[in-house]
Amino acid sequence: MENALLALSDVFTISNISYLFIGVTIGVFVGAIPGLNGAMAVAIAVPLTFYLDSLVAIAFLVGILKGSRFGGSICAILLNTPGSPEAAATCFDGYPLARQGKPLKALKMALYSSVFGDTFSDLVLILVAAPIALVALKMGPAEITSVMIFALTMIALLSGKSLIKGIISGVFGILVACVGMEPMTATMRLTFGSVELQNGVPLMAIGIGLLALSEVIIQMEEQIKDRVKEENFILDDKKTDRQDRIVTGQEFKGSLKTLLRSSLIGTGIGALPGLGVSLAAFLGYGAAKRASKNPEQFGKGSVEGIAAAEAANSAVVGANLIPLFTLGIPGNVTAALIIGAFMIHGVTPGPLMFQEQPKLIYGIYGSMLVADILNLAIGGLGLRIFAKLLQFPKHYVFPIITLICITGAFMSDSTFFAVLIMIIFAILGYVMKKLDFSFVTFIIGFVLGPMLELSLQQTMGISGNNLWILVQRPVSLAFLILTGIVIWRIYRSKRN
Amino acid sequence: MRKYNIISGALLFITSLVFLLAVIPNETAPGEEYGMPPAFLPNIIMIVIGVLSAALLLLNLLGKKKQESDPVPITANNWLHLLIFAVIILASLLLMTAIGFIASGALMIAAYMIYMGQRKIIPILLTSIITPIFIYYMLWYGFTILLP
Repeated sequence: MENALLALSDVFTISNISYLFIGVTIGVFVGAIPGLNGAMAVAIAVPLTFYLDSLVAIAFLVGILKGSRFGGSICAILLNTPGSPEAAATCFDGYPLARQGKPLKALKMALYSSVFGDTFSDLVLILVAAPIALVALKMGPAEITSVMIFALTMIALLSGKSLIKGIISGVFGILVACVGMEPMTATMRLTFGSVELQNGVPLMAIGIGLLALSEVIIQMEEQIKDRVKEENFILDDKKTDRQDRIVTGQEFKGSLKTLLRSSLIGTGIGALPGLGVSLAAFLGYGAAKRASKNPEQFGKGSVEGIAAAEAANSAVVGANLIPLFTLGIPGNVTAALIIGAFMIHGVTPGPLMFQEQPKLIYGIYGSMLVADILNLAIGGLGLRIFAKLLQFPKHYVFPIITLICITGAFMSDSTFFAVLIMIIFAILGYVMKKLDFSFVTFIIGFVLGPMLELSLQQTMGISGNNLWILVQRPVSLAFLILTGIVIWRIYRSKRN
Repeated sequence: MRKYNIISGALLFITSLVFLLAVIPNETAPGEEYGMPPAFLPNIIMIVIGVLSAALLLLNLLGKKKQESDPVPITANNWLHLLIFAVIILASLLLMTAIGFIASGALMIAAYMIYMGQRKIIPILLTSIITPIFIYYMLWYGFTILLP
């Protein structure tokens, strides 16, 4: 309790609130521009957090993530082009409603639903993370190794179209993580005589390269080919009735069940590693359509449809932090980047955080809830401004983002070597995306690699180099069996 | 995609063999006598990659040709675009060490804008000059980060 109160005083400092405000604004801004997304922004912003206090740093990144979830719906509704894949389900009803002359109603419903889903999952995180962490603390290295194998397999299997390519990407990420000093004995590995590689390949350079710069290369290509449609749906609502510009109490009340259902779906999916935000949005939308009294309205501008998609995709944000805080396992790529930010500040995410850094944990919880309120305020007040961003020409945006990427990579390591690594991984990311090798699995494999190796070494150490311990411990065995079942089920479903 | 799966499967398989037989033994020190040797995990990874890439190769070689009009994932134009992008960014990186962040950043933004089809000189000049100056001084005065 004392920690919670102390954390509260940290949450409401001018610096924390300012960075939350900036984070949410950047998030909405980035999400609103087609081709840019929250993960890209987080990748570029992590090096900036070197110079911030640990709570302010994480709050800033969480703010970006939260803002970008709503931001993605702006171009989905006004352009019928999802700013990020998870906003695709918002297009189904958002764009038709905008075409009916009610773009503000659609945007406001998206905002309220996004904040509702987000807050719901934050509260679930706050309620369940500590009890799960208590259980996780009782696990030994064998159990942790099996949990990591399970998580990595799930992510690898679900992140792309091909199971084989998914697993190859994941283990390739672990291989890149092996470069540099081996964690137990400090022996050099795969450095090819390079002094710079002795500390390993910098995570932020990889993150910026794979997530941001490779996407910039693709977007530039699309722009040059002139495949990007610039058919902007102008936000001109002066002639519309007030009723068509707002979400009425009745409409919100009518969508309440949908909001709760979608928030539950999004939270459940976010808590499981690898399932992804897009799946949550589509499942939430599908469930709402099946349960609705007016399913025929879906796809024609239903307010309930927007609520279903937005609440589900935003509910993933908080829930994604459940495996990160309780097990130290990133459920998705942004959680992997947040691990990088934690490590910059000397904090290792995982169950021990609840014992060692309770003030930071409560501070993050408080900041997340404040970010939800800020998201509502910034989104609500800045709707017209953010809508204008859609008209910003892409031949200005992508060259500027490229320079920001270079700056971010340079800041992460203060060397040109990091920039070079970023460029190499951007090119690799471009090829991986084209050939359907999951870059998401790669990054998560890279982040999990050292942890997996450490727990494997500890397992071997306590068992006298006997790996059979993994099947001799009941919890470890259960996770390995679960991994087998998941591989089999996904293989069967993909075959069918 | 089938052709590219065969090529990537073959390349990955060869890479795994090269790593297992040459790179890992030469680039990994033997380590201590107790516990897991430093080469253990890289070896396991390369075995997994070898097995899976062989599977990818064989499945695509032996599998039925489902679509004759199989889309090509990376065309010659894509490679050309990648090359142009890489040349511009690497050239600006080289220049950055010589003439600094602001000048090379301005040249890079201008080059990309022209490459993306912008032909109006004033917007090119304004964007390419203002952006690096803004980033440079924002980082210096906001975070005391000195860019090259």
